[in-house]
Amino acid sequence: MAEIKLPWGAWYGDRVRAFSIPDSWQVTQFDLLSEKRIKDSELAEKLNLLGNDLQFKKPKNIIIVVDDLTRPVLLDSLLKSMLEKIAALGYTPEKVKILIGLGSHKGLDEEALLKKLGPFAVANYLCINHDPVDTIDIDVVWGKTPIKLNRHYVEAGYKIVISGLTPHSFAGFSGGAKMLFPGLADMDTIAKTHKSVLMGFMGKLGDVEQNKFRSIIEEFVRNVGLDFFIGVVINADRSIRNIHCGDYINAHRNAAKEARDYYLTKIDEIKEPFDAVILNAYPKDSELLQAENAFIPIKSTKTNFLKEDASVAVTSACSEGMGYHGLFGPGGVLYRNPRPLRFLKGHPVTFFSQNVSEEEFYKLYSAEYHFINEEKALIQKLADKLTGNARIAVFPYASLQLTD
Amino acid sequence: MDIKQKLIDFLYDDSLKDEFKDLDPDDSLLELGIVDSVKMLDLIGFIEDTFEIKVDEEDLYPENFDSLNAIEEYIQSK
Repeated sequence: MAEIKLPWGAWYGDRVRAFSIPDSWQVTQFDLLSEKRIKDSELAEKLNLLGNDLQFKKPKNIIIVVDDLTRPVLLDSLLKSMLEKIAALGYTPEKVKILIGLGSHKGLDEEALLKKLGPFAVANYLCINHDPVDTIDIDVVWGKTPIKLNRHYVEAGYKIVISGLTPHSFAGFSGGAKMLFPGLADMDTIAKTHKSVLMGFMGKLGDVEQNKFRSIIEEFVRNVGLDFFIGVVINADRSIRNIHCGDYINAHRNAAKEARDYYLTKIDEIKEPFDAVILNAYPKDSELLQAENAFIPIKSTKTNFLKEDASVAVTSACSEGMGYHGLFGPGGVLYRNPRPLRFLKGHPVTFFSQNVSEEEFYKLYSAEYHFINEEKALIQKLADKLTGNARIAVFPYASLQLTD
Repeated sequence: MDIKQKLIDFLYDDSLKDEFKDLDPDDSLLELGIVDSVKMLDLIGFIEDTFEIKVDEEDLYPENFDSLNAIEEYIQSK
């Protein structure tokens, strides 16, 4: 038997998982290489910009906003270097807070904080999960909604935001101003953000320049301030490829450009559409609620790379099971009974995970889709529909892979 | 025919008959699954054609389109 090897279990071991497949399948694997990594000297040079700004502004205290485990960026080494830099300027740990920009995701417990921030930050600094209730008015009204923002953030003397940039269905790329809106907002603002998106009033995947949502929230940020933004471009293996620092708009644009160039998976030279595609959710494979990110290669494509009746298989570790989202998850105000996803245009879908139950799966996905938790059954399900020399496309890092 | 009835006639879909059965004019059309981003595009076109108004991009907020009452109020304000 031949094998396909998929990266598996971000935050939970990050290993390679092999799936045995029939020898007759003709597999095209669209890999992303992780060759380029930021050097220590480059990192130090970029963090000097932060040091210079702090020396110029001389704030009394500092807040550092970071993203959560649903985002795959490893912050351990970057954060340690930055905190040491800040400490060297006289900012002792009691003058610095780390705030997790959760939106309506689940708060990070100590184990999750250690994974995300590393032992140095957790042991020495106050780490706070954003609470949508602990927010204050910022004198900004969006339509008819007064906007509130995290109290710790608003009251901080100097505001730093660090975030990774991964393709995002309505903000173009994650990070930047989105870390505040909805990341640090009150529940009404978070709900309004998501409602606007669901009603089609916002931006699209991979586009930050012409993105209505982003231009609105960047204007909001102007009202509350953001002193220093660090946009992290990550490799497919989650190592740091590069960082872009400084102004929250310019640095985010530059990081988005580099991320887009890197994540763009060229499929326009494919001569014939595929009979099936395997979309592996890594590195956003920590929970079922994030697994829809695995459809990014299909959502972003301008090239019809699948046959009309091609099968779509999604694989995800879902290490934390179903996960939690205060709006879209079961019981959330925007939770709806699942239906077939329009952008899949009727393709048969099979979903593989061994960490969610069938009951959990069908709370989020249409009853028309197949749920499988046994590896052989997954391959058999695909094989049932395929002829001997079937052509299979594999996207091992599908949650990052934009297509052309 | 009043505005709300015209909107219901446009939005009605047999697969959503349960949602329409007890629909209150203040119910969220989005939360009930009656509109989504694709349906919203059609709805905007329908409103512009039927009521001969221009829906400005600046007006595209959930508050204006998320219930029958909100849409009626919006149309009457134009």
